[in-house]
Amino acid sequence: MPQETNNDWTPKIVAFLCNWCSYAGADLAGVSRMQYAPNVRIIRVPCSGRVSPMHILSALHRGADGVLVSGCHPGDCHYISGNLVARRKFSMLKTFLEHVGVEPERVQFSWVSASEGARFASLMEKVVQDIIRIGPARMPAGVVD
Amino acid sequence: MSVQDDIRQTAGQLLADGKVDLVIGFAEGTLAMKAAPCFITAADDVEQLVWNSFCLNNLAVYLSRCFTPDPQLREPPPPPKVAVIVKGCDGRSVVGLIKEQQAPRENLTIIAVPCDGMLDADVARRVLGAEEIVAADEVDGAVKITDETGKETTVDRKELLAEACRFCTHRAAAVYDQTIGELPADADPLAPDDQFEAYCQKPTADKWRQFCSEISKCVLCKACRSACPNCYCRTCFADQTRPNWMGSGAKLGDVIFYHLGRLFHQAGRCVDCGACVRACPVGVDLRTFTYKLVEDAEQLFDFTPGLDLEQAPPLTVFAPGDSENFITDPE
Repeated sequence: MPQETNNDWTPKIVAFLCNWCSYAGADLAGVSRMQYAPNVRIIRVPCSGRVSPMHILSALHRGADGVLVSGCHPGDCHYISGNLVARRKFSMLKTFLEHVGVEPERVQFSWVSASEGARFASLMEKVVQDIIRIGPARMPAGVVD
Repeated sequence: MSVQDDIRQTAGQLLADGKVDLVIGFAEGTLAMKAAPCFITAADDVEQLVWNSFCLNNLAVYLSRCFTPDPQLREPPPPPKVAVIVKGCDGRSVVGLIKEQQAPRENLTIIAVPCDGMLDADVARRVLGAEEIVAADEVDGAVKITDETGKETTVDRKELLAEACRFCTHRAAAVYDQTIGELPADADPLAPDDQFEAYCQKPTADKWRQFCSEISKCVLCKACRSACPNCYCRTCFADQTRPNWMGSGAKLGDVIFYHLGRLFHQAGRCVDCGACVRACPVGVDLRTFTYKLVEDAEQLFDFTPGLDLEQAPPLTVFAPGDSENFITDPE
């Protein structure tokens, strides 16, 4: 739902990137000097399977406007099947969050390999544009320590 | 022989033979329309056990506690042998606990009893517009209820069914050691779940508004957590201080976070017994949200919890062909 946004607002996006593919993809985008939106805060995790739904909820709870989780393409996981287990978790989380009224664009999942710097840059552009379109998070922020 | 007599006899026999150390069942409660969970350890005490239409609680909630050794003890005693009297929902919760290694199968004696759906005092209060139910007596599907003014009303039992029982499809436990009476077959829900369907049709913003207005009733007493057999964690994320997931609950954001976290922990595990809803002192409608997880587990992974000891919980496994339609593709 588009909301009143003041002009100062820029989205704050938390990205959980797996060490072996997506983080390297982000690195490649960086060293290749590709332009992409600067709104993302990257958190490096060993595997997309490491990302608990609690991490995603906690990011929203602590004031993130959007969350992106990205890992290796299915079949390419460094730990063989971490991203496949994650895929199940995330598919349930995504439909559940939609059910309680969190916009589907707010939390996104993707696969980016280490060689896909350009894909990472365009993914970030897309996520940022999505979040700008739907506006700041509706979730009231809770504790920030 | 009535189901109640049969339960007493079976429990007495198991205790007298030394096959079990503890029987978990229901005793007469102190309030009308509420049977109280009870723990029988001696064959002489089985007369306390009752079976009627007010045995609402999910008894599986006590099982994980039976098998949690006291960390203070240097040499914990061997795990007890426990018999538990189960309705359909309790039985499915027990299966979940066995699979999650919260209760060893060999120490359990699961006694399955028939259930026609249990009656809820809160529903009765709503139906009758009464402040308090003083007495209730069920004869052949009609319930004679006395309210606080002494007025007697007779109501069809179907009108008083607990919310979860109205939509129940698995009325009998799927895994058991003994049965009492004749177990009912799986049935269609009594009525279509219009309230849930109507909620699902709403636009996202309205869903969020309704979710927040429900959750804002919450006083964070965490009775939902205490009543839920799946909530057996020694330390719940809500009580953890390292990491400090959430604040004390002074802010609505904390309450929302608690519920989102607790609800999603039920993904692929919730048996829709309704214990959380009935435990809630302020009447938060949790079922509208938990049922989505039940539905998704079925639609996405073809999984219904608590029916099969062999089937792996859906979020611990994967299939190469799992749905990918939620993945963002920038190209």
